[in-house]
Amino acid sequence: MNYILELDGVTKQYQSKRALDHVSLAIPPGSVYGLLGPNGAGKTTMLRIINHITAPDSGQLRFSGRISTVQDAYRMGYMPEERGLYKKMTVWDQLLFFARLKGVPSADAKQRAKSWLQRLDLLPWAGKKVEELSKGMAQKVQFITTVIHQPDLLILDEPFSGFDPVNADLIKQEILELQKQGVTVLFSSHRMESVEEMCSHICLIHQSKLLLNGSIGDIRKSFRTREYEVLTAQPYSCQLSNAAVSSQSVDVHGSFYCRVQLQEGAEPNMLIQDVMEHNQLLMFREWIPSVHEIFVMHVKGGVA
Amino acid sequence: MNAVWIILSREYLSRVKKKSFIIMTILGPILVALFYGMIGYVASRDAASDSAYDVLLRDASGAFAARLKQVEGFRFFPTMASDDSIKKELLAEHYAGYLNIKDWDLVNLDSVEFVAMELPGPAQKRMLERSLDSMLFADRLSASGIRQGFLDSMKTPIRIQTLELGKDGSMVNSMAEVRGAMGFLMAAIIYIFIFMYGVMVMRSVQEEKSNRIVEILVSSVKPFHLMLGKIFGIALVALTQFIIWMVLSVSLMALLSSFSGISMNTSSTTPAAGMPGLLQAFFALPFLKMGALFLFYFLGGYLLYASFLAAIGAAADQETDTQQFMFPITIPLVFAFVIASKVAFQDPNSGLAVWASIIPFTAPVVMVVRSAFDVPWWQMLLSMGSLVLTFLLMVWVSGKIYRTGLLMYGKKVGWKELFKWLWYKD
Repeated sequence: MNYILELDGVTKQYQSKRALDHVSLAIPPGSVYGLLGPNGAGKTTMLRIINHITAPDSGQLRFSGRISTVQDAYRMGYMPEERGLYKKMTVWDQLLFFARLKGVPSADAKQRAKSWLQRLDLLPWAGKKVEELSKGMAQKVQFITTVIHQPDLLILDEPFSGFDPVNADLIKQEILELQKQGVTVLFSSHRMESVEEMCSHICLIHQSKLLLNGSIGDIRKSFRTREYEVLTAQPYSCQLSNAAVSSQSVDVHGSFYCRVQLQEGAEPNMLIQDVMEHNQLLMFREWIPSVHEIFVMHVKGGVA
Repeated sequence: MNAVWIILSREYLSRVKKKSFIIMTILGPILVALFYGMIGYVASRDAASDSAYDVLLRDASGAFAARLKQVEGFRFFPTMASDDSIKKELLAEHYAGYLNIKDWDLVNLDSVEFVAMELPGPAQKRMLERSLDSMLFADRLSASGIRQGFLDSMKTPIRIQTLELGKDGSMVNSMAEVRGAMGFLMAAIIYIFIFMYGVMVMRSVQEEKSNRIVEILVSSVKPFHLMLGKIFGIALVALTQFIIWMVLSVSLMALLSSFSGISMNTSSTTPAAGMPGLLQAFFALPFLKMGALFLFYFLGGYLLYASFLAAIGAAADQETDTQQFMFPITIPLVFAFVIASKVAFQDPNSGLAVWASIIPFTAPVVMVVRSAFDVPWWQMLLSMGSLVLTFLLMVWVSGKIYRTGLLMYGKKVGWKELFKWLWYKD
């Protein structure tokens, strides 16, 4: 398989702190790749290495199959976590400046800036200075500066922090739209639950080490624990000899929830039968840990 | 290189389009011209003031009444009336003041009184005192048998004509004062522009860093190119402003002198013989050489200091953090300016002046002053060469600090730290 971006044993050391420790991963083209981990895990350092703001101490970076050079940065769009625009510059001049900096010819830049402004309802504000815009509008402008040169790889550092829910949703839709057009999206987030639904692939980093990476489905499946969620009308006590209730609670509607761990020899159907014999079954499904839970398991339980 | 150009044009255009720049650039020379115009106007009005002070004069001795007529700004009316009736005259505002010279001998003249409802200003008072004083002086002289005319003939002022002998044997009347003044003016302009625009570079770098725009920028431009684009962009702003100022000043001056041309020529402040000499000395200045050197040192000095200031802007998290670095930068510049004033008006070839014009940190300010006089070509070459070399070194050093500092947050940086950054690899 051809990957758009591959990291191979990338290590970065700051004076006293190791920011990345032999990180290797591969990003398939057209994926939405989530780079997840708590604050200070090394996510931003990794993104900076990928778009050549800093260089790794050791390890290799490949872009489209060959060793990545500074030129590749022109095919990437980067939105840093701390957003920045020239406050005294107009929206229009700003967009053209960043587009031209990324090598877009002036005429193309104008046309694209116009269509993006139209798309995000910013056209009436084109002549305004950034300092006159609301925060949400400035964020949208920032997003346009990131994508105006039609990058193949979009790199977003904590893209949803600071957006209000409406704009966050809008940007989410735009990101997915770009992905449909073939753009690969790599973004970082420390709020794992919020981005899970968007990602096709994820990697988890913690204390500068890569914990795991791969497609989100594969990862979650590999963390199957043979636990099943059961919702019943009455309190349920399991009669099976090779199954154990691991947790129990009452949900808001007054139904009874429990999670059952199947052991050797037990099958889901046997559990369903047992429930139906003594109780009224409202819901039944396999429990697969969320990314967040996987992460917590990793960090606390020392799986790995 | 394309990126440098894009950065440069953004820096240039965004500054030149600013209202404050346009106002400063256009209004600056107009304000200066207006200021000088005002001074000239006030001075000429003062001189031709016809609103004389009408003063009653009671002179017990009668020795002054006739001679006091010449005091500028006053008109005297001798009187012998009593104090009471004089007071009434003053209160009725028939006269503005009353000068009473009570006793009069050649030793004492401290019994002079001036009474008025509105007292004269200090300048007028001094004028009055001086005229009485000189009259007393003349009286004392004649009392001791010396004639005033004899004394005047002893006081002929001496004026040394400095003639510069050129290589081709020609002799040009060069006025050292004119050269010094011209050189000093250029040095002052360079000094001010280095400060003004160097700090502008620092602020702008600092602002980009705290705005975090720099992260987006360095993802598409090398930090070194970013720095160069910024420094040269702002250099162009400085040049633009300077050129507009020159053009505006010269044309305003031409305009003003065409309006008041006559009054300038008949101005009595310069001795009649001095004026053509002054002009001759002015036009004998090596303008082409001075202009070229001015441009060179203007740019060289600015680039040297601006590149270092850019590095400081990159190293600091906030503007207040830049203070500790500003001090050692300010010192050589201020020092250079002090030397420049000595060079201009005392000795253009002293050892201190020569060294200061070769050491690159002071050269931009000091050498332009010396360039108004004659500087040995080897000193000139040494000075220019060392400036270029130091500038290149400084750009390299600053580039290193700049690149490391830009993405370094939350750390208060000292000199030691900066020095360490020089040896970081990417």
